[in-house]
Amino acid sequence: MKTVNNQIRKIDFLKVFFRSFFLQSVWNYRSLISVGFDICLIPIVKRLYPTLDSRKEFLRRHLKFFNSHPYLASYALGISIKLEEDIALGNADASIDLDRIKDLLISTLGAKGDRLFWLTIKPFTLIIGVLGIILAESTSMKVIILVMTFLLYNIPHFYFRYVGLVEGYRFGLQIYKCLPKQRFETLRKAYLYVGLLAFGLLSIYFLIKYYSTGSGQFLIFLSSLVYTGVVYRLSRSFYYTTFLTFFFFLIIGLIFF
Amino acid sequence: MTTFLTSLVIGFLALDTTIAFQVLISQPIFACPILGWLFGNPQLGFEIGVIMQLLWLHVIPAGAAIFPEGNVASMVTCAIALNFADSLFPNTIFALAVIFGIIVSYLGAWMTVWDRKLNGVILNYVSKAAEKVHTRKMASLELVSMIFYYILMSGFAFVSLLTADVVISRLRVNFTVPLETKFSIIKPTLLGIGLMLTGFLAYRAIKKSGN
Repeated sequence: MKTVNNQIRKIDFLKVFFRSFFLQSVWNYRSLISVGFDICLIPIVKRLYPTLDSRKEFLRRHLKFFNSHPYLASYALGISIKLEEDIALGNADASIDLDRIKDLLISTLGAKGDRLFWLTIKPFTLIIGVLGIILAESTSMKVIILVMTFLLYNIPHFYFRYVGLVEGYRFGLQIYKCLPKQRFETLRKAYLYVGLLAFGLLSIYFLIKYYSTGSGQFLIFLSSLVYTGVVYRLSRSFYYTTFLTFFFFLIIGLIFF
Repeated sequence: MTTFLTSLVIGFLALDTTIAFQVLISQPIFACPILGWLFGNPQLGFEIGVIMQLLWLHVIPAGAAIFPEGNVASMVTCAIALNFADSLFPNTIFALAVIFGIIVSYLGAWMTVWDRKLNGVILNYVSKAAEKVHTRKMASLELVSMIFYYILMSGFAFVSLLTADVVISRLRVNFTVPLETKFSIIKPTLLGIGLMLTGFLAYRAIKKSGN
């Protein structure tokens, strides 16, 4: 059994972590995020492989088609580092395992990440931010709200980018142990419920605001809500909904106001 | 602030959408106040940021989907409104800015598609660099891709803002007080659209909770 002369160090993880912020920069229709993924791992290839041929094989392996949620891709990066270490130690099967696990992770990390971040943390953090900005009276208070919104989103974002790397490396092929179905549910539900509360308050705020402004604006606000609901249910298209509702009420305004 | 500088700022913030960082600064509630601050009118930036945020909130830039470029559209809308902030007809200006914004969002989506196709060409060069183990060249190609996107979006914002400037300057002489009153419905309409679309998103999130 060989030994790896240059063990993976914490600084390597930090380098990969920093590079992961550019994971999607060369997003393309043929290999999706593989270029960014490959470039993220450059500090690892330099650490593990001394020869030109072994480095070439490494870079080739990770240029294959790959996609994931950009934040949770860190798990795939961590596992790749672990398995690359195994390959460097002479485990020939690790290369096959690497291809297999990456293929499996495409759907798992994509689905978990989309559900956690794109469908919950991102929109509900922004709703909380919108509510805060509306309620804040002074500009300095609004700026503070913006900073808090930024942190509310980016603390879990940065956390998963780094912890994913570490856990992926620690668990390797046993990754299923640290990614059970319920893994992110507590966090997701916390953002969901607080966000829903903020959304409810936001809706009430606008209802009261336009009710007190005057019947004309209140009517327009309510009708645009209903009209949007109907058009979106029928079309499921953002453009149809926005265009039709916007221009419909523009015409209403031009004729009746 | 000049149109050119505004475009450069918009291009930079646009990188955050998918290309780099993804820390939310391209989202309207962050980007519009930043533009507002640069124009010396943060209040208007906040106001437009809130409306635009609700309007574009349910757009999810995930996977290979062609999504409306809502962030760039919001920034262009906001920059137009800020550029004509001294106008006596803010509602009319805002209505025109929103129309420009919607067009920009549609064209911006295709800009992203072109950028991604160009990245396919960059992939070929990266593959060649990988074969020769030129890791520095690979990283440089990644940077080239980001710079190209930055130039593409800055240029796009520049053309959009210039067009809006010419169109609104010409139409300005026709703005009247009755027209301004009619356009007072724009903000409640947009908030209505935004809240309902956000409601659909919230419904989806709740439904997923049950799964």
